[in-house]
Amino acid sequence: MSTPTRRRLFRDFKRLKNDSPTGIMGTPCADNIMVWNAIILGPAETPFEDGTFKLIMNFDESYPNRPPTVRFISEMFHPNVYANGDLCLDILQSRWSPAYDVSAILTSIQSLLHDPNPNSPANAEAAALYRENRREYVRRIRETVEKSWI
Amino acid sequence: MELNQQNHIDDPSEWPEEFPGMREIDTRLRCPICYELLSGSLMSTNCGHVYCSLCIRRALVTRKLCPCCFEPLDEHQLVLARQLDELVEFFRTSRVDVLNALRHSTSSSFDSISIEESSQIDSTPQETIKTGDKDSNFPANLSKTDRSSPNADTDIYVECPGCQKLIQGSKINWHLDNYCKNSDFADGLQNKKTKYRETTKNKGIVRDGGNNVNLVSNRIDNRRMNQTKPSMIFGATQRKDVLLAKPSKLVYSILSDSKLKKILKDLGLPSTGTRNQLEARHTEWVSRYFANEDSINPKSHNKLLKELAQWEANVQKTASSGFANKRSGVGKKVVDVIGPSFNSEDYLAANADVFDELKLKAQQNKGKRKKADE
Repeated sequence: MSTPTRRRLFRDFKRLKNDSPTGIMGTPCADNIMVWNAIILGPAETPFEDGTFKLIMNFDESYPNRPPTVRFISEMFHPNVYANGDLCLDILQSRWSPAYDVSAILTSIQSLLHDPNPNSPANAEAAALYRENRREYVRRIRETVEKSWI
Repeated sequence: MELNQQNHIDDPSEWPEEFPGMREIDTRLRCPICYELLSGSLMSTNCGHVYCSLCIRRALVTRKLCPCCFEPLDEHQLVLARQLDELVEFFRTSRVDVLNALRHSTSSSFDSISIEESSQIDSTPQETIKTGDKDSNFPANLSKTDRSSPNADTDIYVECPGCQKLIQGSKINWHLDNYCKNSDFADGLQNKKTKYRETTKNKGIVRDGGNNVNLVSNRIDNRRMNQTKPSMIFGATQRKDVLLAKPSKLVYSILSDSKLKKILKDLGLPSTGTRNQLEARHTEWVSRYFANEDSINPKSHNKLLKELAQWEANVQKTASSGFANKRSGVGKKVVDVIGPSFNSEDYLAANADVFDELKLKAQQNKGKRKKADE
């Protein structure tokens, strides 16, 4: 069964394979193109360097008119990531555009890592440390990075 | 298994690297929303961005912003970019031919590229390109719109014993079987066709272009003359066509269930289902109806109704699959979609090999990009 949404997801996958931006990759589940596994490598020269953060993306027939739901399944310590891995990212909510694709989503999340938005905290502790105690913040990030290897 | 379908997807990356300009053209003739070649192009008079009619109409149901630049955009600010549609049709019909020609004229460097048309087309790209009289071996007529010429053998014209019009040899049986239905269509084609063929023959490119091109422009003419009869354009493929009334947008909040049901009924749509289903059905129908009006090659209303039913079935299928049933709308906080039973650790363990492979690929990208930067 092929629907416009599925066809678009095939296209997203093809684009991602042909020209994937630095340090991100995603692939649909073998038996369900509506669910994707993805990986984001922590950007170099940031505390997130060497992290291999795993995510799951969940699409439905409203894609690309509505964004997918994206969740970290690696443990994440970040001002804009909830304890259960859900993200607080504008492009996945109010600033979504149907012109975005999987590659754009993953790239945005990658840049969110080192460029958090402490004004809309999903993790109050991380946001507070980010503002007030950067050294401790970095230490916690490094812990997250090490956990992401498992 | 499901992923095999991706082989049928045409993409700008099919153009060899030696022709970056073609990649750019291919990219720019695509809709920014669905990434397919544009169909029924609508341009925003506000910012100049162009989309498929159906894509932008559906997008504007969700948010009244241009998806490319976030400028405010309303449907009345969209205008038909008809010339662009025609351009896209030319491009669509010659794309596969040109790709195949390139593939054979250049070195083996892009032998691995598989050139295929979209999934609707079942003909396979041919390996050999011959010159001169054997041009008919050229993988011709791969255009979706060109349903009326099933064979590549389009050059021979014969006089129809019924209506005395010149008809393509390959179509004469079909033409007679349909009581010369298509005769004025073929008539209009005839003059333009010979003219076009002369010019293209000399150049030796786009060998079957003449046929496709004129079918396209003829359809446009037809549509202009007779907007309400898409069946004219489709010829005999639609036997009996229902013509449904033009829908209009509704403010659902002021309509009672019974009023809404009556409106749906009057439009010729099913009036069963929950309130949400009724509203969604109406909204989707309005988008589809007007997008069809914008199309260079409109479908019959019967076909549109079938597609609407198919769409509803798909939406319901994913909604009930259990995985996405708690999906949040735009602007709301993301809710727990993966379900309360989801356990990250278990999932990671079960998919360890998938993630290992992803990691490897992501690292390879990293290396590739770094090298390119140096």
